Amino acid sequence: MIDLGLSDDQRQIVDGVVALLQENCPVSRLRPSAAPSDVHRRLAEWGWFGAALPEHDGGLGLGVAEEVLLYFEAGRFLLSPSVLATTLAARLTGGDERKALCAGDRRAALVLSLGGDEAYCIDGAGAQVLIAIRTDEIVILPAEAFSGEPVVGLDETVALERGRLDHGLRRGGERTHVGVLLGAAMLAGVSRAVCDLAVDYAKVREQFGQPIGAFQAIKHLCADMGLNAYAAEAQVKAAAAAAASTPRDAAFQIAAAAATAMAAARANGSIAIQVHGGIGFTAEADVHVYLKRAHLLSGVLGGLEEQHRWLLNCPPPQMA
Amino acid sequence: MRVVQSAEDLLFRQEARDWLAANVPGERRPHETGDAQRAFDVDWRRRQYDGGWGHIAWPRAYGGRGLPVARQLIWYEECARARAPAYTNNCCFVGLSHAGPTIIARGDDAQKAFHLPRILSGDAVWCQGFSEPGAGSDLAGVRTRGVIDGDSLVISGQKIWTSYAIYAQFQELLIRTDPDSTRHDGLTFVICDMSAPGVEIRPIRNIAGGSDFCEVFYDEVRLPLTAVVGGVGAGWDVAMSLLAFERGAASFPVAMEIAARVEELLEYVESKRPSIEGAGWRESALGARLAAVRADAAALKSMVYLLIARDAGPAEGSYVRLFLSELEQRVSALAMDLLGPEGLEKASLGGWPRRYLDDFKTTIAAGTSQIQRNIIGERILGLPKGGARR
Ligand SMILES: Cc1cc2nc3c(=O)[nH]c(=O)nc-3n(C[C@H](O)[C@H](O)[C@H](O)COP(=O)(O)OP(=O)(O)OC[C@H]3O[C@@H](n4cnc5c(N)ncnc54)[C@H](O)[C@@H]3O)c2cc1C
Repeated sequence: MIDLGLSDDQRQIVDGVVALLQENCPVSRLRPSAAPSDVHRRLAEWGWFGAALPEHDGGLGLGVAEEVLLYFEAGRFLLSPSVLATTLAARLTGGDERKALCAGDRRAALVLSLGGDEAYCIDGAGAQVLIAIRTDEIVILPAEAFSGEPVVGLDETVALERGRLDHGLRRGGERTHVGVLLGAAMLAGVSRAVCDLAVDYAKVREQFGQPIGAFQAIKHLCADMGLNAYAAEAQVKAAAAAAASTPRDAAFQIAAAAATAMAAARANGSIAIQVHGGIGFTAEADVHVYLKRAHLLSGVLGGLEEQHRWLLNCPPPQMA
Repeated sequence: MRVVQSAEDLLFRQEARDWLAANVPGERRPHETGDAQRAFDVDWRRRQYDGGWGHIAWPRAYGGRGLPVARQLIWYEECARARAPAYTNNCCFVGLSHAGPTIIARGDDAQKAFHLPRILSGDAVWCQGFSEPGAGSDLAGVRTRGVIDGDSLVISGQKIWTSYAIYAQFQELLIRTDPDSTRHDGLTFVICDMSAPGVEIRPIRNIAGGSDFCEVFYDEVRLPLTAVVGGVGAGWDVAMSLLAFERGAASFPVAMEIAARVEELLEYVESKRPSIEGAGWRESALGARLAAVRADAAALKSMVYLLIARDAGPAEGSYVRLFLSELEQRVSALAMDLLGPEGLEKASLGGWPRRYLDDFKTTIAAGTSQIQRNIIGERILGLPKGGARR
């Protein structure tokens, strides 16, 4: 079976990371009125970008399961997709470049192909390296491979550029689903965080003399969010376990995790806006960012249809 | 967070697989309610018991193997893979998945020694007498009376929707023993011998064509006080432990079965679809729905693992129960759409259209989906109770 419990070490890692993120990256940092902040360096100091890399390379020597736990929290705290890009770039490189990426001296950003040589680049400022996630492959390119102009993104908390991607500059890739796995973990974290946000609101907002969470119509929406978040967390953790120890089943479990987490994050982001009422429609409230982030991350991972196609092409898992 | 698969686990899996390959009945379960159906269910139970597979996790003293839950899950998984008779839609289900566990948790030694081996061997079929015409979702409204008379309880009243009452020797019976009580107090959980004088059973025909759930009437039915579980007046508490089993561990085999059923649909589509619309079916709307239920079935299994790992109290079973019951309906509705016109015949493709109808029960029985959402909202997420519900 798959033991989805956390070891004491894993629990400690999660506690440490939550404390780090609470202090340095409260979600309020993303509000339109907030001063710009850069958490990349703080994460590097903690060891984030080399979490699953060997210690002699500047890493923490943890495994993919622990990295999935980190990325669940990254999703909860709405860290930039560039964090994911930098983790993946550090995996794909070696030597001094890897060390520089782990130390936060070099950064990566995600690019998302639009077909042909058109692409988006997300939070590309200051990045030396670009990463594209395909389901079974991670491609690494130098920053010069992309040239584009800023456009107004659906998720305004990241900088979006549209332009040309020169695939000819590609520096080799890695055939692995780990990019999708970590992205799915972020989506599961988004699902959980936005559920918690809306449930907390439903406990304090009063109408007709009682908290709105006492109304069954709202309670059942909350229950659906809880269920979606539970399913996404469960499947992401099972996929992490498979990635760590049963490679034959990993592709199936990861595609199922991505599909489950994409659907959960999208649904929960939408439901949470409704539960908030008018305030949910304001830019100043945090709730909309989760929905937008759900779209952004799903796009980066190729979208739900792509994961569905993958899943249908996998043999059923051998062991559960 | 790791895959646990010891050498012993692998051996156990192989042993299970070999035994199932040699023993799973070749014929299908009769879909008509009646003696042949009961015999099929009981024979399969008996065969498992005789083969040493009566129960993987129950203590050895009661005929189980006393093995950890991991092995239990392997067994369920292998049963599903071997397309063994299903755990639900089987008259031994009540005894195995909630009467037995409740007796293990709350019964006395004599009750354990008498009932548990009989449940495992199929010698005793059980049914559940909780719901009444006036007490469905609102179970605390139970009115069937029990009057203590010497060392007996004398019971009068009516239950309804009692699955497999026509097949059962014993019943989990929830009654009101304190006439002055209302709601949760004053209830008692008693094991009812269905052959006792004064018990009358009337089957009800359901939308799928079966008639395995029944009305049960009690006219001064006399049961010994020794049949009470957990003490007179403790009925609500015992019933709640029972529901935790019904909404928790009872889902484990079903989760495995659903995943196998989704694979069955995929195989069907692989074999049939290309000739109809080319290999591009994966890109079609039906392909997307198949992928979605495949992901959901994987997530359901993972939810079972998470439930076990978290061990966070009985309410969390409602996550699994709710997801499972709605997924079963999505899967069988998808089967209908895959079948096209052949969905108009109940027996098509091994009976999927009949299953489609039968699956409407999943979001009603064991607590409706609405009740599960209430439980999740209030007991997991901590939302306040609504004004009308107290
Ligand atoms: C196939 C099948 C087998 C069954 N087997 C058994 C059995 O073996 N033993 C047994 O004891 N019972 C059994 N039941 C009964 C089952 O537990 C009840 O049907 C169920 O609890 C619902 O009760 P009800 O039918 O009275 O519906 P009601 O309680 O009248 O519900 C009607 C509708 O109102 C909704 N509703 C009710 N209360 C609320 C609320 N507070 N909030 C929101 N919505 C609400 C329900 O969700 C439902 O949609 C079985 C039922 C079925 C369908």
